[in-house]
Amino acid sequence: MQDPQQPPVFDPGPFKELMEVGGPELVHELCELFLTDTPNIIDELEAAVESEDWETMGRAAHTLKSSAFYLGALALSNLAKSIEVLAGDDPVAGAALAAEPRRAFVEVSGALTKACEELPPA
Amino acid sequence: MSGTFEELRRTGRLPSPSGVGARILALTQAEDSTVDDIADALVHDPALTGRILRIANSAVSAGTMPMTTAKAAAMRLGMKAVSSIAVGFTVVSAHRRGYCEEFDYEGFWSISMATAAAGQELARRILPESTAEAFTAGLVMGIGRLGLASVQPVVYGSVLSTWRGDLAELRALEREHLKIDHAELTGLLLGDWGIPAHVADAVRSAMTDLGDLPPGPSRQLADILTLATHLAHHHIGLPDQDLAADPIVASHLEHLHLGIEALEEILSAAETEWRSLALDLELRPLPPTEVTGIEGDSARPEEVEAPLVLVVDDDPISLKLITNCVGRAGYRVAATENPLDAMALAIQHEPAVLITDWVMPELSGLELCRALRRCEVGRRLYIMVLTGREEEDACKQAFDAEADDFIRKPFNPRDMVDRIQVGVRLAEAQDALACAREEPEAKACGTSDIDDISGSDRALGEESGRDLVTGLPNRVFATSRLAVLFERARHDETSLAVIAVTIDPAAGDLGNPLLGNELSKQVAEVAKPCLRKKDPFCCTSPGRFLILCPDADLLEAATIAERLRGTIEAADLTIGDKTGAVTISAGVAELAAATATPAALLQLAEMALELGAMDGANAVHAAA
Repeated sequence: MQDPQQPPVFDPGPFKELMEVGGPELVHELCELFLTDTPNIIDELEAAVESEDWETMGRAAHTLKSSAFYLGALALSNLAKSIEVLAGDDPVAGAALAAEPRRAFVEVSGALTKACEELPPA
Repeated sequence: MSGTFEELRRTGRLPSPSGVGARILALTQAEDSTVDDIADALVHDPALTGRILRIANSAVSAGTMPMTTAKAAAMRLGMKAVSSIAVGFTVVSAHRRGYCEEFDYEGFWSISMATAAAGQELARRILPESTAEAFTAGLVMGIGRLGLASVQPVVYGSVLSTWRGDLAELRALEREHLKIDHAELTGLLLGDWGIPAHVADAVRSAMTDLGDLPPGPSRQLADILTLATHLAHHHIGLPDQDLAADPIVASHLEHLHLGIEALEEILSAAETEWRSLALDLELRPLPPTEVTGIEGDSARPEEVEAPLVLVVDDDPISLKLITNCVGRAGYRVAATENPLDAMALAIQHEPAVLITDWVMPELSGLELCRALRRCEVGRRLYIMVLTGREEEDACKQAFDAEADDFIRKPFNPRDMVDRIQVGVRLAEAQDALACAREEPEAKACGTSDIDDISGSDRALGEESGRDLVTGLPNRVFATSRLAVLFERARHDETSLAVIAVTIDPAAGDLGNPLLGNELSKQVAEVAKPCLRKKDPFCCTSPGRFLILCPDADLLEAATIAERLRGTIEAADLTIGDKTGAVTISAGVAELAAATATPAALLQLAEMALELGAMDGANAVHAAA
């Protein structure tokens, strides 16, 4: 059951909107960027937690927040937003959440890949 | 005096570093820049790098291995010194032409280089640790005169044509006509560019010939600069040199403990340096392109090139999405993930609009914005700052950094396309306005009243966007600002009101120009504190004002106007021998669905004022 308070792992809304604005070509390109680039940002986030570099942790979460949002990865975006806010107020609590983004990314990448496959070819 | 400097700065025409110079200046102002960053920036300007290597190597003792990399030179000289050289180099090389007919731009260029070369060679023998400083100081010593010629070409031209050749006399003339002299302006500009204070002190002392510094390195540097200036004006590049016969040279030699043969050697080395420097500056290239792709309509013929939008965002997904939006809006786009490259790209390609992310490593969007606003190209740019920052005052911070628009991330792509179109339109409107201001006939749109300010000064006030009597923004400023606020209010569906104000004729004889000016000044002084800070308060002609009230509706604007009316009435202003007779009337109008243009809104307020005036003075009238 989806918790109504929690944002969905994948919301097709923003995805459709991108489709209308930029067509399949843009969506394919953005998805590819997202799927290849996000693991690097998550690596950076985890390394920052490891070295207690809260500023970098906040900045990585900040980047993750927007890029995940554009493609409809709302759960990941929300998680990143929480970590970003905590990086300033309570970094230890933020660091406690730092293992979550990777899990959320793995979850959403399946849905995203599937949605991409259903698009007309670029 | 710093008020005068602020005024000059606001004209946007003071000399400023460009290209790699601007980039290095921004780097030294950013908190965590390193020598590596400086060296990376230098890679793009081989001539400047060569110059820095020469200076760094000229200061090391013989037998030491010469330095061959920018990084080694930057480490040897220090970041401040490298930044100073880059700034001086790019400022001087960028101003070989100008609008002040009486100012010898080519001569200025040549003398600046000769002074730099002579300073460098003198310091190398007398004060080796200050070789780099003497070079930079010599290069920028004339910058105050260039600044005056750039900002006030007409007034300064007439100053120069009455000047008979003595520098102290020139400074007195400058203060009389421009309220600031070139020595002071030089000092303020050097401070602005982060040139170390002891160098600026030496420059000022050498320029004013005061000899007022206590004995020490600054004093020695000042003495070197004084002699370097003399050599640059009277010996370098001139045939038949007889140094021994020059009494000024003789007096300096004793002072600096130099023999005449040593000075002859120095002069010959300085001449060689001067020629090589001229070559360096002549060949100085523009910063390189590191555009990840100028996309869009490459098929368009060149003469109808679409406006260029520069995008910088360290997140490749946002960057891709924004560049796509720019393409959809119909413009050309240059994109980079590196904010330091954005600086160089902005200067090289002069885009109409810059869209920058806020949170980026190395240089934040706001730092980029501030750095760009310091140079000429950057002042013309329409800058949109994007941010996913959660703080509530983020928007205010962005506008404080002189951004034009502010967009929250994640953004909606459709909105983004709209905002980009608004940005380009405003940038084009600003550009058209700037062009119109350069046309002489446009000056006629100013006031028709005669007053104690000469025609040319009034015209300069027009150009600089200031009313010279009250110091308030003028009609030109008001019109362009209203255009921006109008577009923004339309787009964001927020309110906007304008208040037209006139000093009631019964208050004083406005036909008498001296009284009219005095009255405007007094009313402006009293009015300022009772207005909202964010509302531009402009003096459009003697005795007439305009207040632009963003986010205010008719009622709020009328309340502001009423408060102003009451304050003026209660202030018991004195004019001539009449006390307490000064009152104002105001007409207020708000932006409505039917208001087609900014001019129409202005007209509504003016009409309310005129119609209301028939019913009596000292009142506020709202447009029907």
